[in-house]
Amino acid sequence: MNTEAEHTVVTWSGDLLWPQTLPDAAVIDCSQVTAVGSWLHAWLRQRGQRALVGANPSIRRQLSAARLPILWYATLQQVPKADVPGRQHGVSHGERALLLGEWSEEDSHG
Amino acid sequence: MKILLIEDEVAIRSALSRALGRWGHDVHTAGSLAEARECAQNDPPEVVVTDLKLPDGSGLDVAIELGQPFVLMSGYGSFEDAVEAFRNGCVDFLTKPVALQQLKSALHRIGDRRGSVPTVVVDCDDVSLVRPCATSFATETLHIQRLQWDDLVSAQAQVATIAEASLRCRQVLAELAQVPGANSVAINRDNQGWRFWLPVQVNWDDPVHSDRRQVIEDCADRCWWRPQGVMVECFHEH
Repeated sequence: MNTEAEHTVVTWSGDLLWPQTLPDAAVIDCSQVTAVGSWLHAWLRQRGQRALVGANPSIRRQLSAARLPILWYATLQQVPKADVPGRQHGVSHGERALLLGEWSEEDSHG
Repeated sequence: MKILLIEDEVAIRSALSRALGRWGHDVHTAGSLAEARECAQNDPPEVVVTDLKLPDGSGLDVAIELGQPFVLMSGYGSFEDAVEAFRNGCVDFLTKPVALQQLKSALHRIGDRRGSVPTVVVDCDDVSLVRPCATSFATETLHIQRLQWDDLVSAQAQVATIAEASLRCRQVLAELAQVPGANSVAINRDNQGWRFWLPVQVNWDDPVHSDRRQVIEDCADRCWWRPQGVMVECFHEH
């Protein structure tokens, strides 16, 4: 599946510790992000569900602890079309992986 | 209240003793640690007001030993001294010459809060508190600096200049700088780690701060959340 062709994907990078203007899309590639600040929690809350791809474990821990509506994926290839935020029904591939404990730390590195 | 005043300089001891007496306290005085211990043994105090630097040692040691709320006074107080004092129940850290009104306020707070955990009070705008004095208490590597900003762009630029700071230290600083009302932070670095003091009045229990508080606690090794501000400590990573 050529996921990138099917979803709008934006890429964030670096440390996002300070408020700034970020590109927004249903799928966000975070594989080059080193750290995020709490201002981003509010940013994500305002926008609703997003799919974050390749986030490092500490970012996943931080954003999960903040109970943000995020779908987690290790790679862009894992983002199924049905997981585009905004869908109404069903359990996504990412949610299923989380529920079944199939998500591993290595996943985040693709 | 029954107060033990420990001060080696006779003139200061006499003046403070008179003031404490005028405010209705039962005052006992000592000029050294040895005298203080003897005095406390004969008549245990409820509150200790002590100079930090005494001829036979540190006033902080005897204050901790006596286990009562205490007020520390010093003309040479370093940021490290303040940190150590707050960890051990210090109610206020006053720089000399002591303003009597400050001492009175500190004692009122103790009176109001007796039986509960002492509240940490520090006026970090008083630069003498964070002055890196060459005292026997300061380590060789003591390094103190203060960041002050008008806006977040300025804050970000200043944090970026702290080249030695690890990512988690920069993350803590970024979070502290974004606390509403914050415009300065004192930074103390020694061979053990970093300490950040943000002097801003915040109700940290307000849910609006919960995300920020969580992030800071995740990054830091120790945090002291106080109505007058927050102190955050990050140990060096080896």
